[in-house]
Amino acid sequence: MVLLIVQTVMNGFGDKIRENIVARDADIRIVSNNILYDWKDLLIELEARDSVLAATPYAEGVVMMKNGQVPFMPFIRGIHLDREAKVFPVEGFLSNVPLSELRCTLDDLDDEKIILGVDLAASLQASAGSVLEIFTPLMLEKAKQDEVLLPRELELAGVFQSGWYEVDSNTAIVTLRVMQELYGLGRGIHGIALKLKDGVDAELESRVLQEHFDEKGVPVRALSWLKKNESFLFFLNMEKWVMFFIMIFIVLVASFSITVTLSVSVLRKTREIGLLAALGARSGQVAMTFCMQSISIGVIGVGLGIGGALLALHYRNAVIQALLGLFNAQDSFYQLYGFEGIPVAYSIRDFILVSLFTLLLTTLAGLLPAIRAARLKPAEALRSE
Amino acid sequence: MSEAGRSVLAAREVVKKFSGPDGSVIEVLNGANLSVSQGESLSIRGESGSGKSTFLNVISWLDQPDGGSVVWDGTEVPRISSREIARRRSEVLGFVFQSYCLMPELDVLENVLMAARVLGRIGRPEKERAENLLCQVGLQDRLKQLPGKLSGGERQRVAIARALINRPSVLLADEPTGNLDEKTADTVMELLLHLCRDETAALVLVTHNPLFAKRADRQVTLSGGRFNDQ
Repeated sequence: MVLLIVQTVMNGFGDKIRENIVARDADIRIVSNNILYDWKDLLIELEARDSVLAATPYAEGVVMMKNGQVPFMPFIRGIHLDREAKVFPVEGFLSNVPLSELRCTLDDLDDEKIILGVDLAASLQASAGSVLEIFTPLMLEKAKQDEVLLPRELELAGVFQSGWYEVDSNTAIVTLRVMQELYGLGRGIHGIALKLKDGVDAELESRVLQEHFDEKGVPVRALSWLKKNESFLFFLNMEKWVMFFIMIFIVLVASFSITVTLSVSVLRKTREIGLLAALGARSGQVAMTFCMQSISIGVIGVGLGIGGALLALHYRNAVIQALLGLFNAQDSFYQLYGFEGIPVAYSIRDFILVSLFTLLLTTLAGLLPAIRAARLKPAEALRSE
Repeated sequence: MSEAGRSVLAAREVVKKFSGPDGSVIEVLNGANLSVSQGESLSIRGESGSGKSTFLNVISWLDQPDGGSVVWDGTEVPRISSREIARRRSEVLGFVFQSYCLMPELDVLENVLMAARVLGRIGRPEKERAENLLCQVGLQDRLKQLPGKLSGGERQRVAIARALINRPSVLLADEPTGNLDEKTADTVMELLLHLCRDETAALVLVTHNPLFAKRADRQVTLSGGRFNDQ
């Protein structure tokens, strides 16, 4: 039961996180080690591909931001105002904001404005109309040449809420022009984000694009969302199997209990075992009797486990709410995982795998007492009190 | 050899030794010879510890002898496989123990049928025979009772019915009346002898009771690891 619950919840987490990544990120990013200056032709070429729904240029990096005396080092992203919404669900993020005075649209963003993640705004204690000072790495170069260090001032246009705490607490949005100015990119960009048409495999398409770029000698890389988040997804999958490994020990302890119970049963039924032998039962038949007992325990256990797991998973959110309520930890839980409730994904493969594994262990657990019963000498067994 | 005089069970020069607690070797059976013919009843007497029960274990091959051989209905036991021994044991021999040895979880009918089930016989004829045997031992109204609800005499009657279900050639009874009061013991003994005659099964009866021993066709005494015909 515990194994099934863990596996199903871990599957749910994995799927939900993947869904979130897909919903909040581009399908493919075209990036370069250098600044992309001749990107307009590339953008047109990419948009003309059958598989591509939309493309948008972007530039991004880290800056230092101050609101009064409150500093922060967020990630800032310069976006193309006409194209961004075709690739990223940014409009949805902007309309998600609960506080109406901080709500805005992309039309409110211009070269003198900035949009912050809802949690970043809270950290900076910024409110509507706050003027934020931005310092960039480029300014450090100027400081070295004894130039006067003047920050770029931007007024807060509003906030966005993606529901992804890491993004909401660490990301700011400005126009592409502002970002080009802050990072001294001239007319250059850092990359192009692509939205693919429905049904197009991002990983496959990224490989096709990479081959195309390599053939043409364009020094860029095509990274699918899977590739970009490869390590994260790997660890997510790894986490699931580590949990499975840990949970195995619970099953092992249960199997040990079965071994002990059946061993006691062999002791208690020693005379009956002798009787079976006297009645003509072979050692194999005696062993099979005890094996069948452990297999029955396994089958009933798996049945009850599946039933219990389905029940627990069905009422998971009520259970977790009650538990979090006890520790007053609802907020931190949702901030950590970025979604409400516990997601689950039922996998028939996992159910079959766990059931077979449990059946195998319980059968093995019954083997030792079964062998012991089969090896009992009938005459001695009949004499036992 | 006539059918009635055919040997259905024989022990030839059977030797059985045990190790004593001090490491010494105790020779319980020392070249014991015995033959039982079809339909014959034979009682074995002897002092406590003389090896009567050991002899029954050895001739039923529940315990292997250290020497000599055992013949079941013409088959020399050591020459057949352990699988075949198990099958032949259930076909040739029936057991009645002093302590009844009934399965507490099974009802009376199931206890009797269990001996047939071991041989894979689970059909209607076996059920009818079990019911018929239980009727003969006077338990026709107790078929669905668990052994725990029965008296000692009733339990032993169930054990007798179980011993006869597979129509064995020989019934081995080890102190079958040892746990019963005098009157019940007498009834059970009469039933045992009567049913064995009806089924033409030989009876090997181990008993301390000289009166019961005398009811058998032949009486032997086990002493010094050998049989002395009386």
